[in-house]
Amino acid sequence: MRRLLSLAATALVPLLVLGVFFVLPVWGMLSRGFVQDGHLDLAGVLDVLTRPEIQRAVWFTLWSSTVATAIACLLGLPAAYVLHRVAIPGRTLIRAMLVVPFVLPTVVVGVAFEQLIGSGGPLAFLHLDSGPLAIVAGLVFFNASVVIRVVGGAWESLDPRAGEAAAALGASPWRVLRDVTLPALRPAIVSAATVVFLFCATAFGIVLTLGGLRYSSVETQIYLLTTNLLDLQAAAALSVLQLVVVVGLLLAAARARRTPDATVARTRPRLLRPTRADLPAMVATALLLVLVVGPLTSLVVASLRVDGAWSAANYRALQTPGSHQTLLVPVTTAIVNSLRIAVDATWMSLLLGLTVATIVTRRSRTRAERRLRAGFDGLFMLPLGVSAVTLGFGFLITLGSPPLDLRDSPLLIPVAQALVALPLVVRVLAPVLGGIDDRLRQAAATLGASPARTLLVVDLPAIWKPLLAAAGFAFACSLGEFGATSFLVRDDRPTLPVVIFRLISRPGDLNYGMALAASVVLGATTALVMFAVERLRVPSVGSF
Amino acid sequence: MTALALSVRDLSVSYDGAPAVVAADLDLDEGRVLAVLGPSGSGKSTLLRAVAGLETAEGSVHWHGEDVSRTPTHRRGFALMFQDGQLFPQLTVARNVAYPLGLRRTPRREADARVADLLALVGLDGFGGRLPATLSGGERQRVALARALAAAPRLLLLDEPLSALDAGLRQRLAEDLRRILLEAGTTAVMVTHDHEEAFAVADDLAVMRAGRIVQVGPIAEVWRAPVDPETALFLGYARVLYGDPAARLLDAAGLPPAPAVAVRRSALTVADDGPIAGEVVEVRITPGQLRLVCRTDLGDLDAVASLDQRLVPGDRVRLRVDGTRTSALSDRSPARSATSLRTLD
Repeated sequence: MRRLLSLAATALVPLLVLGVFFVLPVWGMLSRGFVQDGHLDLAGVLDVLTRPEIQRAVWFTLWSSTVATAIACLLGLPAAYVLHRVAIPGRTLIRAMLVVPFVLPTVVVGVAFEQLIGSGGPLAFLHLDSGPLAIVAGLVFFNASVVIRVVGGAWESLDPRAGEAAAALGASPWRVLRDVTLPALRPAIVSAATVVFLFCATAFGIVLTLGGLRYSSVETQIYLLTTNLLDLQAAAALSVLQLVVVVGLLLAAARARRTPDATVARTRPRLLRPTRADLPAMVATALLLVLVVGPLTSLVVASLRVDGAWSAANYRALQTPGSHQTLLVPVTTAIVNSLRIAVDATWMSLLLGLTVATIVTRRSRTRAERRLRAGFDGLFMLPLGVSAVTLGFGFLITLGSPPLDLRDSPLLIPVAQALVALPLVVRVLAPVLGGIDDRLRQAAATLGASPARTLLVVDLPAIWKPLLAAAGFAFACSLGEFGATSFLVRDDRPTLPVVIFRLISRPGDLNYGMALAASVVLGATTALVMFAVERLRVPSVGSF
Repeated sequence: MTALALSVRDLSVSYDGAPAVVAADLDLDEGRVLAVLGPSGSGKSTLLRAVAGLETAEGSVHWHGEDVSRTPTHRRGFALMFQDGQLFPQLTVARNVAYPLGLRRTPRREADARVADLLALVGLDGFGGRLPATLSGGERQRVALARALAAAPRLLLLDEPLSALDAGLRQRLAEDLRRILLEAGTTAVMVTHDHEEAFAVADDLAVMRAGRIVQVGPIAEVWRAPVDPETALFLGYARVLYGDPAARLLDAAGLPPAPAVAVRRSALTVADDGPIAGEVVEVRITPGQLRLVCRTDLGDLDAVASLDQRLVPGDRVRLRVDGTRTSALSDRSPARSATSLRTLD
């Protein structure tokens, strides 16, 4: 009983934050959709789902997510093998390059792809502009890194002796792969695929910038319904549908994770010498590399070209608010704003994430306690699945008026971003804390160390590097966050992604050039942070 | 008569309603070493952890008359050494050993000297600068022991301290452990599933089975007079005979009859003038002797013969009985004997 009470006390702060800044806004948004003229209107909500444009959005979401997930796995699996098991030159660099897209702001990627395939771009002749294939390519661009991360980590620590035993029994390399390696990696693959599907299905910025008005997913449809059409009922219906699907997927992912994962074994087999049999895998890796590097290079090049000549004019223009009064403040102000907000969001998500990770990894003594901790774990994964648009709009309607008038609070945006980053932080820290043998803490206690001293000698040495990595991760995520932030920023205090979106949606060559330059700045910043995180070599970064 | 140090009364632990330790009573005198012996899953480790304050338990733990049942682990002064050492991986050997000294703000110079002494005591001179990951299993256990001793614990708890090691090392370390505990004059409770290890290290023995302590006493006494057939078999007796065969075997050894008797393998030796006749049905060669199974009219019996006797299955032999290697058992149920036969000095 005392244990449960102390558990509740520790959980109080995160629960309160989640309650006020997540459950309340989402609830506010949903209830506004479900309650029409003072009474519950379920029929109206169900009616929404029969509208043709809504059904189109649902099908498009399913189709694009499925295709993108399949391609991401198809390219990501061989790349995971090549980059984590084969000794090829430049391995670390390629690995870092392929991981960066994951935290690259969606607007930056949107701009990069648009620039590459849009009219006047180097690949305009393919006529992919505003087409479904462009969206799928964008989704793959983002999510192949997840597959490489999750599966690569598992592959790297896979005990090679099972495969060697099979080979000694006469199995060909192909049979070893099919009969031993892939089954052992199955939890990681399933987990990766689930998460990738989840990310694809809730992608916002990329679909909005590449899909235009012709192709919209559930997420962008929610955005259009709330902001342009003010049809809250339909938006709420879609949000609930999305939430249900996402929770189902998260449960499936948790189930896949529960199977003992090879990643925990922590063996480090030697890297293999590349052979001719690795050629197809290498080709897949190279393809992925082109997919990742191509749009980014093209973005950088375009940002440095003005009127057919090399120039830094676009970058110099960042000190201005753009042409035709597009912005109220210069882009440089937005950069400073973004950095400030990201710092706040980072400490918030770290504080919350550390508390949550501690709570969910402590050993349970009874079944009830174990269930409670597992439920807690799931609860804090929810922000991963709730549409950022729903969250942002919910903030606006529940926290923008008394009794909770926080609209002018400088911490409102950081809180929203911290909640979006929270699941990622927890997933970095929880495996590390869970990996600490509880008996090491007990050993410290029996030697006379108080709980605080135990934390210092057992937990801190294990956690400081992952904590730093999680900080970088949260910082990068916060810098690029667009969905929720776009609802909450005031025009005189915008963040960089919001400014970029505004610049590309207004006409004018200067505006477009500035959007490219700003995208390069934002992308380079997050990439630098991610490179630094990568140098820390924390295996659980980007695993789910 | 020495002072009673540890006193455990009616201690019970359960996980999710499943009992792991049931109403355990234990007493231990100052300066003595008690081995808790039991098969895996018998609840012996749980008992140890409950004494350390690491499990939520009912019942009481007293130290020199003071109730410590509600004292948190780090204030009990009971150091626990784990099966796999649980060294702090980021600290060197010396800093691991110095850790409990630092907790008590021991002056630097004094601490250094103490660490050097302790490392010498466990035979690890010059290992101070190494990291735990570079040590062998045996070395790690020695460091863990030194670290536990550095805490100057009122009571040292050892949870299967040697069972992660290979056989030869285990035997050597068990002797070292005995020497070290004697030299330090430490009161200790050691949990083990290996009776040889218990005999090598401990003064007293408690036998645990299915969460209950079935017998406690000075080690030789428990060994000589196991409380019931199961305990006898667990303590290394080869076979238990009941009824008429038991009486006839005891008679052959010149002992009074009893309802049952536990027999060590070495109690029966092949000798021409032995009172029991039998036929060899199984022979196994070990480095020191022949191990036999003989069919007699008392049933199958284990016996030993010297290597030069060259026996093969089918040979007819006569067996002599050594009464000191048998133990007469009363035919009482284990549960009753647990309460009535608890023999404490």
